Amino acid sequence: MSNLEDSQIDLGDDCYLDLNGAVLMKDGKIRYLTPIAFRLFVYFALHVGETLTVEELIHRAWGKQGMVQRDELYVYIRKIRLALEDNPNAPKCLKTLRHLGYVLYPRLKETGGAIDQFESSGSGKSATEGVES
Amino acid sequence: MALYIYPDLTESLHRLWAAGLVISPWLAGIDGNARFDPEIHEFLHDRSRECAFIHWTEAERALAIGDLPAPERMAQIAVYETAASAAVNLAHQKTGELDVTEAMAFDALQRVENFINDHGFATLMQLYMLETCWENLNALRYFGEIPERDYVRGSWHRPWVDYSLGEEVLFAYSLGNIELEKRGEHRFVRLTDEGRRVLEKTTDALQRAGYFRYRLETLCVSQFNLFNNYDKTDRMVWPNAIDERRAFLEWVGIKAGMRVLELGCADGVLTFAAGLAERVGPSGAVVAVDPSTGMLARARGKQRRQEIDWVDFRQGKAEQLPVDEERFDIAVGVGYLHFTNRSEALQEMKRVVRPGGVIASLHPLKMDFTAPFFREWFAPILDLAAKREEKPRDYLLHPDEAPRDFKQAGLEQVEVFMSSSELVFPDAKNVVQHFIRGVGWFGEELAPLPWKAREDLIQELIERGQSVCARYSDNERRIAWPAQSIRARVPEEPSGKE
Repeated sequence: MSNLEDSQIDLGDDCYLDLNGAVLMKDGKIRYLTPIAFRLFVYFALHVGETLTVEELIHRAWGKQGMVQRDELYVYIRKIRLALEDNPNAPKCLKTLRHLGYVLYPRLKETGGAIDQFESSGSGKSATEGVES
Repeated sequence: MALYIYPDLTESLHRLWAAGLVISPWLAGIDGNARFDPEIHEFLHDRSRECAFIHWTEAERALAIGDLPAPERMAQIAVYETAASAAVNLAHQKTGELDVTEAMAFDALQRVENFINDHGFATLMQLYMLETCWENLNALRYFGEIPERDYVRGSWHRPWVDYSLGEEVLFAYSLGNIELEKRGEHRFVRLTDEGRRVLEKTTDALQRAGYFRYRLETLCVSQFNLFNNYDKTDRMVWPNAIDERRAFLEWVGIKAGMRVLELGCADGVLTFAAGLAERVGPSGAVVAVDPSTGMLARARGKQRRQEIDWVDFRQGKAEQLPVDEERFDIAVGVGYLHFTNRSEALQEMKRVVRPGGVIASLHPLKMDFTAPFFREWFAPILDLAAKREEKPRDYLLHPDEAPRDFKQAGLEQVEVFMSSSELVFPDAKNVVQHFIRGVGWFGEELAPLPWKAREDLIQELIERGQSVCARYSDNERRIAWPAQSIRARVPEEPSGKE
């Protein structure tokens, strides 16, 4: 049981990163990510609620010696949002903090205020329509 | 023979500015942080890509770069950078802040597309290449060499770029302007002799086109935009600021009921604290002008708090006053004249001041840098000038300049009053913030430096300042700064005309 938990990073309601499969599980469905998108995502997931700067994220994803620029990071932020957000154009989990960087918040399903994961998972509400790209 | 590929772009550059466009944002507050949200980046990036694919045709390539290999990504980047720079510039102009909204990004992109439709894609490409070529080669000359990684990411010389400069390396290499050297695991970019010659030609061309002056002016206004604590630092370094401004208004002869034009009003320090609005009173009127939106916002804030409705704040420059039919009894300001093109500014003031009316200025003059504490503190700047065997460049005036310009502008009864203001240097951070990041003193010395060199120098000024403040007493850290008050009359009758 503890092994199973170690291989997952919880991201809120009905949503976790599966470290063994290198995929995101959301509403019971598998979302595939590219290796760099997944590496970035894991870093975010280990620092939920913390502001992460662009420079820090580039280091994490491509290494300190990489020649990658911010525009490349934006591509991967977009990929993560497409997989994670219910509406990627109005992100609620992976938020931009202007001039500061990014911050990841746990997912809260809109189920009438039930924050506790067990309660909300029981509500059976699914809002995945049109998210896949 | 240097492979210099640019025609005379002076006119094109002026058209670019007229279209509200700039390339490479020489604006305060632009640094290694992202210029905007990824959403805006994505919008500009996608649209720039489309734009470049439509316009970067064989014919335009032939016009822009002749028989040289055509960089594919550089065309997109030229559009993107111009739109991104213009968007930040628009934010500065409209709000005095750095935040780019979607509407601004859209507006900026539209301006770029209009420019391309009016003047051709090749022209935009050439302007982009000329300006960034100067920025690149100038940095290489200054640093001697730049590690490839820092060069490609622009971190030493164009930290605002959010794309790779890799293709610019290839292009400059194919032109023979730069070379790469491998040492151990690292590679370094260096200038070739040819690159040095191209840099000279590029510098001449941009100088002739007025580029460096324009860049300095834009930077200066943007610094004032972000200069939130001007009110505070002004009084810290110039303890008698308010009394001396009041005395000047008295000398100029401002009275109740007059119609007064105030130049360079900043955050309204002369208007309110020094009592201009109060002197004129509700039976008169003040129109106060400043190019900085940020400063005007702070001035309007003071106005609301004081409930004074006979002052009208307007954005504009002295050379192009936002004044149509109105005529004034007096045009007056403190510390504005040295920021202007004086002959143009005086002609404009003459246009809007009634015959027999007064034009006046109080401004600081060039000073000797003899005080030991000052020499030690500002040595990095003094050294830049000493290397050229010159005095440090700044915008301050010699005592004979303003009187000569006033007379040449056809003004009469020119009167001058010389005084000196006591300036104090209380602490390193506020002094550097006020003089260097704020009012842009020595901008002429700092602007030609690559970005990192300029930032390093400013940091060094803060550190030196801390050491100087620890070793020199408060009393020793004072300077009697020469100042000049000048007033003159607009002739009663326009001479030689009926």
